[in-house]
Amino acid sequence: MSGADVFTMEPDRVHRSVEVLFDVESTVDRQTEAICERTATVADDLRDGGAALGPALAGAAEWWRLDRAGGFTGLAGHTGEYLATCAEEAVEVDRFNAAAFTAHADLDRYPGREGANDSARPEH
Amino acid sequence: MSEMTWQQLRDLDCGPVRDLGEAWKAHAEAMAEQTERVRADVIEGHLGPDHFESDTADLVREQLGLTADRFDDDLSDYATVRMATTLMETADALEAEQRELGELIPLIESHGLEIEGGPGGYDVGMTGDLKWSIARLDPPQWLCDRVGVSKPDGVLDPARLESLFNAADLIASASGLADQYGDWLRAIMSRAHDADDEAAAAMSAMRENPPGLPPRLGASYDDLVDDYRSGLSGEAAEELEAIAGGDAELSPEQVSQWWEGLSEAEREALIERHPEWVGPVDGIPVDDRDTANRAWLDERIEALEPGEETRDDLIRLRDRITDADGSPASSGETGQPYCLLGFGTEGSGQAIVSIGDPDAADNVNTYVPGTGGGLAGATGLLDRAESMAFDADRYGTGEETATVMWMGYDAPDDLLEAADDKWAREGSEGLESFTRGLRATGEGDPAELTLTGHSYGSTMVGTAASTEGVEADNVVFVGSPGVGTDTASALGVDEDDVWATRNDQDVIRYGMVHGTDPTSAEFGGNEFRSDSPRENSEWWRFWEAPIGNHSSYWDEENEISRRNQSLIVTGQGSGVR
Amino acid sequence: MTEPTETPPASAYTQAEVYAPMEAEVADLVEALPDFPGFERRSWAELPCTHDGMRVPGYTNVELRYRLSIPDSESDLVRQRYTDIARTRWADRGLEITADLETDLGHRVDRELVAVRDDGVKLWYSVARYAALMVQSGPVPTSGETEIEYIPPAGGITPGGPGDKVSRYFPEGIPAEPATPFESPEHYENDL
Repeated sequence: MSGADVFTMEPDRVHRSVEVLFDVESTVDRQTEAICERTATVADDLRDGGAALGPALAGAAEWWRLDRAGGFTGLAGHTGEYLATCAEEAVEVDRFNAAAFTAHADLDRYPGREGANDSARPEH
Repeated sequence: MSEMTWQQLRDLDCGPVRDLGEAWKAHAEAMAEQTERVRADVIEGHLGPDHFESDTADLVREQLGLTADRFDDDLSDYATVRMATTLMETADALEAEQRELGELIPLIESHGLEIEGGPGGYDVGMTGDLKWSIARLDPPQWLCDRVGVSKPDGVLDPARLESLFNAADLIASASGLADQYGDWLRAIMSRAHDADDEAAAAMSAMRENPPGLPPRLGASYDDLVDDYRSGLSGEAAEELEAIAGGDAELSPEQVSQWWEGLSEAEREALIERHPEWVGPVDGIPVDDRDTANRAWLDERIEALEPGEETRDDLIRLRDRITDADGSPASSGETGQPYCLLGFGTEGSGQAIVSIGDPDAADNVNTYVPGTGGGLAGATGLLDRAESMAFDADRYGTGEETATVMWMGYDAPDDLLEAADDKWAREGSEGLESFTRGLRATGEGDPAELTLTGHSYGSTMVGTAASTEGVEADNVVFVGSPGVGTDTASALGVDEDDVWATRNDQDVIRYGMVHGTDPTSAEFGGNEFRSDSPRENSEWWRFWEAPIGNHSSYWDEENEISRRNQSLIVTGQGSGVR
Repeated sequence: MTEPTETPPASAYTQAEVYAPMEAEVADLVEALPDFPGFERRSWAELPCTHDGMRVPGYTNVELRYRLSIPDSESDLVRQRYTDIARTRWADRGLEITADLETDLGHRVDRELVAVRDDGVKLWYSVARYAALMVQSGPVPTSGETEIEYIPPAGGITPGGPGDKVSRYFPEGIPAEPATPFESPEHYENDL
């Protein structure tokens, strides 16, 4: 990313964007976890019933949780952390990574997120 | 592969499977609210240009937009089309077979029969008690009724002697019934395994080659996002190619949902750029398939050398369904448009043409021709379909009836080949898919669907119905050499809606090589009249007139048969004679 | 496609020859129908010929179809009286009546009347949602399209007009000077 000739930022509005993104992230994670747990139970019953659908369903749900829903929440969280860092520094952060968030963001404002995107999420 | 035993199928609770499907659907809707929050509250809200403006701000907004779009597509393609629909379709399919089992098992038990061969066995045989009752000349009442002997009443009853004389018939009758129940059980399990395997394949296939996710913001974002954007433009085409090639493992209902999920521009682009993938896919609406197939037919004709036999066949097909000015033609008999639903040149060649739009019709009659069809005979077979359309219009109630000629399988070329059931087995999945596609894309109230098989086409219909399952309210067998099963019960359609007929002249020389005669009482469906053309003649006049010999040579489908078929197709079965 | 092992028996007509006598049958019956309202549509159709379940190449079964309009088909004149007249006329000519059925469907009564000539040509008056007079050739050897001559329609249909649905056989258009209509004999005794 490159810098810009025009630069306007209202850090508080950016922080509020971050809050929304983190909330979306946790909401999707939580609800995905719930549907996948329910799916695993049905998949087990199907597997016990000799149905080929059982193991396939279990695999599909896990894939959904990790790769697709997980991919989305990873991106939402990551972008949130980027914006949180930008807002805190009041400048654009050119070489952003998860460590930059840990180093520069207001972690008091986002408790529990330290290193959240370091290694817990798949890279894409 | 599905290893479900009949006991496991019987005991499976499909309710939670369907409920889970509903839950995934609701989950997808709830998740879509979250992507909407990203768009409304972040991209257009707090992070709008009024509050954050720079090149990077534009990139962030774009990246969030791509992320939300991707998840919306995933929610549609995977959570809804794959997970929810697969679970609900599977629950419906397995419950339908459970209902059949619920009907069959008590019948087996109440007749002193049993399922043999352990959990994986589907043969039905006589219990020791039944064998013993026959051996001691005291067969049960139902068996006496079947054979037509009196039930012995006491040791000294003379009816015991009658049972002794008829012991072989009693055993044969009981074995015959056991075989029919065995056929029925195998059909149930075949369809259940098919539904289970299809569902498993759909679940597994979605993990194969999924589209990538948008890149993360960071140093390499600019480079990666260009690749991602260029991938997006070809994504729908890649998905369609996988669907058309069978790699996507989507059911016609799922294809229908996927197609509906595309934008109008995407659909138009796919029809224009890839008609060869759009045209044959069951689950894409008839109108779009017709447009694509006509374009692809033109391309195929252009690509073949003049004088090639296949090219001539394709030109004949095109001429039949196209007006002189190149626009789609309508049937001269009914005024209904011709719709080209598929064609191919593999083997004997294939052609699927409808007279009338099945998606908009109240009744759809799918006619499956038999031996010696193929692409070369397509226009001749279309003549017969055209007569069916004419008859349905004439005998109907004023509702719209579409008549489809489904030559979608590689049919046997001659009588020798027609003794083999492999053509029917190989075509079964295609016929199942076609009928499910009709159901998936039908508009308004569900149409009355009829499958009419002529000659070997009846073997095709029966085999597909008993092994894969078909969407049909009625099945009609005309001039059948057997339908791949010995009992109407195995077809997955109410026995009251199974019809069969055969003219006196309709002597299928290779006999009933594919199962019990479907016109017989033993088969368990309905027989309807198909009077021989000279039935009222005195018998000697038949031989006296030279034309009698002429008529007797041909398999004729006469007026009464055509009338009866039309009444079935148009939902007036009560008038069938 | 494998040829059938047996040769089909000879027929009285070729496809090209059979249209004229079949059209004459329509004209013959129409002449006997009082207050005839006129047909709405005429078409020439074909049915494939099969033997032992196999299509026999080189043969076709021609079917002439004349239909009345739905409003005209609702009258007792068309539904009942024309059936009776056709029955009498065909029987008087010595034709064999092979089907004579009446079916009450609840919402309407359908009728089927079929007679067959000794040359295999069948006459079929059918009353359902609409009434139709059809004539079938039985299996006849196919003819090239250029051999088939245009026969003007009977019963009030304008030749080449919107109700004359035979353009499939005349892709270049309905000939301006059609073939001389078939002259039906005054009696058929010698043909029986």
